[in-house]
Amino acid sequence: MINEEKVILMTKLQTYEDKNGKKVFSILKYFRSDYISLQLLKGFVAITLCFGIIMGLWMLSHMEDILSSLNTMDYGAFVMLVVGRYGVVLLIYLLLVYIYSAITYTKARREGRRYHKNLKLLKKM
Amino acid sequence: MTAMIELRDRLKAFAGVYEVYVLGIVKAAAAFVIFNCINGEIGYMERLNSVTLVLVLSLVSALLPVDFISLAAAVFVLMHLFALSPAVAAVGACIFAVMYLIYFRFTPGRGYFAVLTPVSYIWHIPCVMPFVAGYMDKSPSSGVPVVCGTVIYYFLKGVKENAVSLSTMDDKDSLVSKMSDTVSQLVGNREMLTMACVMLVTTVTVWFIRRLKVDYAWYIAFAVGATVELVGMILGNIRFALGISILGMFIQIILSAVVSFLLMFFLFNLDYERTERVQFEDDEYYYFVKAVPKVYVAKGQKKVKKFAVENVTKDDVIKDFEEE
Repeated sequence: MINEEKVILMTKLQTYEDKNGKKVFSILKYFRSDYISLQLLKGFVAITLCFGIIMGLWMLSHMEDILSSLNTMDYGAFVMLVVGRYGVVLLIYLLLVYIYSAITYTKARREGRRYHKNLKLLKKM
Repeated sequence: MTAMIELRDRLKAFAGVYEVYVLGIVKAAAAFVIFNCINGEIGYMERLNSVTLVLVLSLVSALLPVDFISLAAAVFVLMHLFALSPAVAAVGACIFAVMYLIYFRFTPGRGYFAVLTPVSYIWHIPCVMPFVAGYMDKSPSSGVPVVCGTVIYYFLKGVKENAVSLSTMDDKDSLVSKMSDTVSQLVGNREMLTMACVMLVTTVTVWFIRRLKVDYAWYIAFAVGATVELVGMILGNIRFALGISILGMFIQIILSAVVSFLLMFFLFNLDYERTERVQFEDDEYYYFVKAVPKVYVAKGQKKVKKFAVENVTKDDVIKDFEEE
């Protein structure tokens, strides 16, 4: 005799595994602090690359000004300006990444708990 | 109205039963439109301007995840730009890389907003996109792909307008100066900045208001969103003399209204007049529950009318037959 409730629960669990499960399980492999650190590291690499690309594009668009002021430019001030802007952008981006990762991890843990609760229920059936 | 609701329910039921096929057809159709738009706007590489290739790519898109369309569209654009000038393609690749690194790596499956936004610009209905994104997405960050789509559109528009000069520069014009020209036309583009800001603010506004726990939230979201969009564009128009047509704006808002009401009809059609408010308690909490029923039409019950024949036995039938 088919246990309808069991079939329904199994279907729900499998659907969850197929849809969001993979992402959630891959997050829950880590401890919270490890997951957030990894995301911050990835964020650092990403934003550094982006800043480099954007700086490169900015320099391209201002090429004439830069070339004309090559001899008169205060290189120290220019480097400080670039590093300062990079620092501000890095800080803001990493803060956003931290908030996003923390929220994502909390949600994943909540969903993981619900999934295991349903698994236990299935085992009891 | 009843007929429309019945039609909607049938469509939903049909889409539910044949989800795989319906989704595939929608993805293929979207991909076909997108690739055709790209070919129509910046078709510099003749090999890509083939209906057969577009059809094959569309069919492949039907079988693969939604992100494939975004990826294929980006590659398509870069190949066309490369045919025009490698320098322009390099700038395009940089722009796509920045967008991916900052936002899209976090949100797989959201790239379609970034692809559909330039298409909406090409069709002269960009104002519709913030409403679509605000109503359909789960998070307010859907404004970011709309902004990315806006940047992509204005980048390609600039390239298209300067195509002749970018492709026919003398040999003495280096790769760097071509890249410099390409970037310059994007950086100082005030129209792009205005539209990007208006798109972002409208999307976030629509998303925020439609989630409020008030009656007719989706309608209010449209009204406020439309006002924000109109005011933003008019202010941008006055401040930067962008030359955007006021009449065009109103037509776009009317189109946005049509799209918004279609979305409401299919996604969130509630009957506020039959709202029920109940209040109860248990040991730990008081519950204030507000239940708003969905608008639906009860399925007509099939009635089988029986034409009862008086008890006729087998013998009676034989008897009748013999008499005949």
